[in-house]
Amino acid sequence: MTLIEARGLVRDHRMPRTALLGPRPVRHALRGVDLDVVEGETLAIIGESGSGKSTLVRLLLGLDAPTAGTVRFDGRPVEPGSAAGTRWLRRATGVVLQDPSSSLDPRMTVGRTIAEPLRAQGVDGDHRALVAAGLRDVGLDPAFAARYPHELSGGQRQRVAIARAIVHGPRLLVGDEPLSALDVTVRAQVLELLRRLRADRGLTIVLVSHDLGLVQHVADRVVVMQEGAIVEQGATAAMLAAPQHPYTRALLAAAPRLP
Amino acid sequence: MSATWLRELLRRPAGAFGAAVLVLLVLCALVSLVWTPQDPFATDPFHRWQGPTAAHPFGTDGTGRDILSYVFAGTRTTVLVAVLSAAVAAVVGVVLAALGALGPRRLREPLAVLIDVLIAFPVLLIAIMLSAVLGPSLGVVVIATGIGFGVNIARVSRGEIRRVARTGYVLAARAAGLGPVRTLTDHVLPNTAPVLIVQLSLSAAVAVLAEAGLSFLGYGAPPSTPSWGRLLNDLQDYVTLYPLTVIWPGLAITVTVLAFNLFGDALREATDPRLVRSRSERTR
Amino acid sequence: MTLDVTELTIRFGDRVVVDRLTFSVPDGARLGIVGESGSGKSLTTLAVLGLLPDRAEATGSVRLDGEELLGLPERRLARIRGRRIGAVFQDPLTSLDPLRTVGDQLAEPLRLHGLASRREARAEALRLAALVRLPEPEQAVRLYPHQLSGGQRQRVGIGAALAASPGLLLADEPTTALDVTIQAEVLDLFDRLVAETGASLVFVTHDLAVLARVCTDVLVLADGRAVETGSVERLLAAPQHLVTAALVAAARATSWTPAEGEA
Repeated sequence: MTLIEARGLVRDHRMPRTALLGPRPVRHALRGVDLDVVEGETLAIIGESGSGKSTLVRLLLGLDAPTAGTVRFDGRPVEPGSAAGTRWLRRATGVVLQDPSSSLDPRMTVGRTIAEPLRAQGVDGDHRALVAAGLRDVGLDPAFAARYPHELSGGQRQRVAIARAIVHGPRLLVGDEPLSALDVTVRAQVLELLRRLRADRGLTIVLVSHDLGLVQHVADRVVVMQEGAIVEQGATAAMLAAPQHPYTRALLAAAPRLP
Repeated sequence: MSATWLRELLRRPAGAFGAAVLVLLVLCALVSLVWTPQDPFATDPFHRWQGPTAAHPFGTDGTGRDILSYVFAGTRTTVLVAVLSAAVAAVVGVVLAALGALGPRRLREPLAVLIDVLIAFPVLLIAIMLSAVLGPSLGVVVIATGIGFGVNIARVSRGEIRRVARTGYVLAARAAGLGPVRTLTDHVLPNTAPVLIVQLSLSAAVAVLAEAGLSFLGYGAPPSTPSWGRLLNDLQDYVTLYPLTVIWPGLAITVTVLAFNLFGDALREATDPRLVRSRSERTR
Repeated sequence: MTLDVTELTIRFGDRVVVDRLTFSVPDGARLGIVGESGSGKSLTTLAVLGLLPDRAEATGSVRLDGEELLGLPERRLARIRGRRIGAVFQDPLTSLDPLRTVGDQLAEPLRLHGLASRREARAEALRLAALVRLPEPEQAVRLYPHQLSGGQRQRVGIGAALAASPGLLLADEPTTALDVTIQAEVLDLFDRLVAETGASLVFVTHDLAVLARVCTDVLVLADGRAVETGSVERLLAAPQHLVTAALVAAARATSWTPAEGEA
């Protein structure tokens, strides 16, 4: 069953004027993207910085409005705008960002941070218990709720960010480069955590990454983006074994590997 | 949590000093409404220009008024002006900065221009002009310094608000479903607080100085309102003959301004969990 | 040029962040230093350069061709930095001066050490721009850092580090901020230039796969201590120490491995 259906997505950014009275130049972040995400699959979107992959997931999540095109989530149109109008979408989604040192508010305790989706969406029930359960889900002691982000290691922070993304029981988890700021041993642990969450909860996962290792180890399907367009997509194993597009080939050839 | 920052504040020498002076000022101001050592306005032609005595610890002025009582009563003017002016500055500053940083795109550039124009306004001169026309009044002082400094706050904190609004945790909060107002109150303002606190304490200090200055010139507090600046003006003609008398109102102004600034710096540190923890770790 | 580090200890107050570290880099060797964040690998390179933060205190010995660098007065160190030791840092955006042209910054070490006149510096800048393969060197030297891409900026950083033909090149995570394909190009550039100039190389990274691409030997750091050293091949195949084994295992579990039979 298709969970997300994006059609003809275009997103232009108007840049600052270069001349006093001249027109504002336009940068095309997305140039007409169609994408389907099937419920329960793990999809990786790869490409280099500026390829439009982060813009694409922001549109899928209704955090940004497309210049043209539509997004449907579970058949329902995604219309970015008021917090109340997108609440149903927020309930169904959770996001983990790249850098856990900037994605957690330094002035909030871990407990308040994780409870944020519950407060924002007006979820009923014992928030404290849900936060404790969320911390346990990501392998942290519930006592962590009283700490501040600067008291945690990078890996612990990213676990907290994941707990915040899943505490309200979403169907879709989106990760924007969720491993790239982490040490390699921590990366292995968080990767394992993502796999377990997917197995336990049947989560649909969309990962934005330029890390082929992550893609190979968790993704069922890969979408390759270049300059705002999808240039290739397919099942992970097949694509990594026989890339078709020249850009995909270049990406695979460039990725550092262990001898 | 709320007790933590208070404890942290009082543990810092600057914070303890600032807080002590400010609490003392507020107490004096409140007490002066019902009681002063003597009537601050009572003249006594037989005891003019007295040095410190048991009856008049700060001495008396040229009309025989008790300087201690007058300075004591003057705290209420100072406290009133500082608090109201900082409140006006906070409202003006935060609203302008938040709208200028996060408001509708169409509003942002005009607001930036408006702030620059307002900063160019000579607010104190306008205050003098208004007082000259309408008669001296504290309301004019409060509005002038409040708006004048509020615009400064807007200018300084707009960039900071924009920076915080672009952080990962604000994006994450929006993705969690937090509305724009809650995002502002839960994340943006607390993380802009270091800048705001320092600016607000500075604006209170500047308001105290401005009130004293304007009253000194005869444009601030009306004659019926006890004011340190007005007292200095009354004393200035005889400063070479009785230099000791001007020390008291001058000292009161200096200590108050210093207390506001030290209090602001200490409060900024005490409310930042990162600074607080690193302290406690060091002592452990 | 040989670098000998003996019993190097770095302290912040009473906190020891690098603990009796000993290693040497023979003339022309390529040593990779690998470790996780907080292992002390970046501080070690800063100590060699004499650029530790003021609060840090370094003891032990750092010798370049037998000459002790630790405790040298700043004036003497300044004559060594850029001339005998070149350095490349992680973020090419912040390590270049945004207000000066690429050409200026490429030739700066030559000007600083009085190795080139103004006119010669201009010619040298062109040569260096070509050396690090900046596109259209004639134009490139006139540009400012913000007009370049991340990869091009890092090329400028490498060019400047090599300007005065130093005998030792220090690189601290030079490709971490770059995209994968750009990273591959910059690593190739390192590989080629170090081979051509015969400089010794110390390459600090958290990524074993990147390290394996440019270095022959490796030093593993954990919590400020050297836990294992040896050839890259040997260490990847048969790690002796638990920390190394965990690092290699994690790298294998998270990095990409091409399918069997693929080129």
